[in-house]
Amino acid sequence: MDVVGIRKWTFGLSALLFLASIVTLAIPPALTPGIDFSGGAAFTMTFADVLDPALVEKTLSDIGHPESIVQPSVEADGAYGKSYFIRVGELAPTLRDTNGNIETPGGRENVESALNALSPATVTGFDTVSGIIAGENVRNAAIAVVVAAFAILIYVTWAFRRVPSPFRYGTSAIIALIHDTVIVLGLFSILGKVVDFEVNAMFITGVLTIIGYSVNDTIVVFDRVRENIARFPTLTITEIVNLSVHETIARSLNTSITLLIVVVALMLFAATSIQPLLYVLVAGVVVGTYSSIFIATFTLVAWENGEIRNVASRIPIIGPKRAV
Amino acid sequence: MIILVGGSFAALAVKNIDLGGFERGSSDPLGLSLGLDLVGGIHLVYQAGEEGFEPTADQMSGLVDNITRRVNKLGVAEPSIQQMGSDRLVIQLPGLENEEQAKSLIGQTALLEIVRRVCTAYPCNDTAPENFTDHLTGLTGADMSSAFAGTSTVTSEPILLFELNRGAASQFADLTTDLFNTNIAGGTPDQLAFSMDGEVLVSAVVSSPILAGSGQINGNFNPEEVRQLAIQVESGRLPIEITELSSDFVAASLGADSLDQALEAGLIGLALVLLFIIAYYRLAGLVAAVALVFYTAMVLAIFKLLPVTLTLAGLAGFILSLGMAVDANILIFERMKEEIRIGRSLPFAVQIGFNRAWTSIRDGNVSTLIIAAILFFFGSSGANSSVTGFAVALTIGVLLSMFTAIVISKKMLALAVGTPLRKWPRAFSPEGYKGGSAAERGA
Repeated sequence: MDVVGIRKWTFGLSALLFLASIVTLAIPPALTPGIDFSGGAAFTMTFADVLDPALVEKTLSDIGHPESIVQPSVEADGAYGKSYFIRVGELAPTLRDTNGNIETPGGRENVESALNALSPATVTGFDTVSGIIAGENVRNAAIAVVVAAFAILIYVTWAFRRVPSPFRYGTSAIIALIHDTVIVLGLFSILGKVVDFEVNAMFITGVLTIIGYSVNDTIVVFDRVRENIARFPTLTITEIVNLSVHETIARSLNTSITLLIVVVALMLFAATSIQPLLYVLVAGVVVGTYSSIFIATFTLVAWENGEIRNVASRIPIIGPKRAV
Repeated sequence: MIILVGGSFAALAVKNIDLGGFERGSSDPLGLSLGLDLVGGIHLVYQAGEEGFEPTADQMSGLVDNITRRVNKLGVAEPSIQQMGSDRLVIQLPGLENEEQAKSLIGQTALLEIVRRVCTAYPCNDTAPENFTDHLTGLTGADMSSAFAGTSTVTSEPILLFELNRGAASQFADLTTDLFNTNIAGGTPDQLAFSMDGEVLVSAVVSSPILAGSGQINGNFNPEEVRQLAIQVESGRLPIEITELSSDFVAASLGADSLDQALEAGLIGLALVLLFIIAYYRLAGLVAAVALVFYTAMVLAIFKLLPVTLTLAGLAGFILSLGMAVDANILIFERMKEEIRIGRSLPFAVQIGFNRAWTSIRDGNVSTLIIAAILFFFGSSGANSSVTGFAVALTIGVLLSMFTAIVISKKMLALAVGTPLRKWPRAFSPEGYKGGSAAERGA
């Protein structure tokens, strides 16, 4: 089978997903920030009864928290459980006297007493993040992503320093990486808009991890391309890439399957605090595997065959310059 | 080869010590130390002073001392109070259930008081603190103008020097005169003490009335003790308010649930992965499966010996590295499969499979390690223990996965090749399935 021959289709599909991602990311909020990035408070509460999430949200809205997000736990049979994740904005502080007794109840006490009135509740988790920390988290996350992108670019160029055109390999890997990152962010942008999926520090951790995974996967395929070029000097780049993809596809799929097995196992059983990480990893492994086979290598083929220049020459602004 | 075999067995030996209650051990499963999100407790970040206030190193160390003293009253087993950056504190109280009480206690402003310690029974010295009854004098840290470490001009021994505000000097003169008189009159020798939040920092017998508002305390201190004492008294003289920046409370019940769920998920994930690779790679898969079990034991042993505090995110990082450890094996087996396909003998295919796969394994894992390093700094900069925990677990996992694949798997395959099994090379690869596997159909 000529896998390289289907590149028009995969480029088309990727271009479509990429554009859709850019569009959804361009519509604010690009991603729905969790308390790590916006500040605020989050409760994990266990109620005596199963409650309607809409009722909980209305109750919170009535006491001045229209911004609240209520996510019930889900039991194995699909019904709501008694444990709820409740997210509100920043809460007014509780004022206490020197003995630690409450003088003026703060936002936290208000929320707890209002919800206790619905059904007796136990608070099993309570997080607060101030605006100062949230701002720093946003800045640190941005720095981490930028530093990671540069570090990976440098590394990939270095790793392929012995091939005839290291820059093309490096750039192709980076294109695949940007492709993966943007599409995954786009997916979670949509999830944020549709189901209030919130982005926290663990989400950023997941994004950085898939950046690493995407490059890892691409390197394995390129490593084989590099080796096959040396072994079969008479073959064209298209043939080399076809051969290399065939040789590595079982490994790529098997590795993705084992990663998906462990991540999905965690996703089905583990607690909410790392769920964003796991969702990103699942999306990232799928997109990363696809791109290392169909985007990174095909970009390389298209580039080596001069197709990129051909396409560019048809674009009016770039075209005439090239023609001259 | 002996070294390689030794490596495998050493890993197992460590595991045995591990289970037998090594000195690093704890009561948690396998003696691993678990993070707050798994045992329950509270993680707090505080800002010292108002925005823009720049505390000195001594002020921060005084603040840490004060908060440590208050936290100790909570009866938490292993509290951790650390300075982060120049003006922040990170407080971790594992196992704490009453977070409201903890927050209100920690958030109190330090109160330094000058106390008269009335002796009610003999002996009246430090060996029997229960013989003293403390009486507040009304003088507090606010009445002092300075406290610092110095050296006696007479005996050259380290002493604590302090001065009172002009307005408080006469009250202090009366107090010390009175204390001195009880002493020489043959009455009970009452003492003068500085107490912080109700706890005596230092107490002394008054050897002469302090009339001019500046005094000194000596008592066989070493220079470091005096320096610490001065920092503590200063922290009460000019108390620094702290503001809560973030808090993260997990009840012990929720932590225990998370731990159970994560362990269950880890075991199910591991079991499925082992089944998958054995089903697909047959005998070679079985070798990888055994190597993975060794790998799991070794990673956990390293977590315990370093030690690494395991959070939920750390567990996720470890489980992810488990998936990646399989990758190294898969790369090698796919390579072996190709070598067998082109007709190489089994021992040679094993050798070449490992050699050729190594560059891919190395280059691929370096990218993951780069990312883990960046994550570590991202997590540390925000005191996010989940992110750092993930990064540390991933780093250890990836490094060890390379070791497992190229040392342990290789050794075991070499051993298998040395047995009569070498007559069935197909048992070592999915080639045995006639046109069955996805790879086959592709080719």
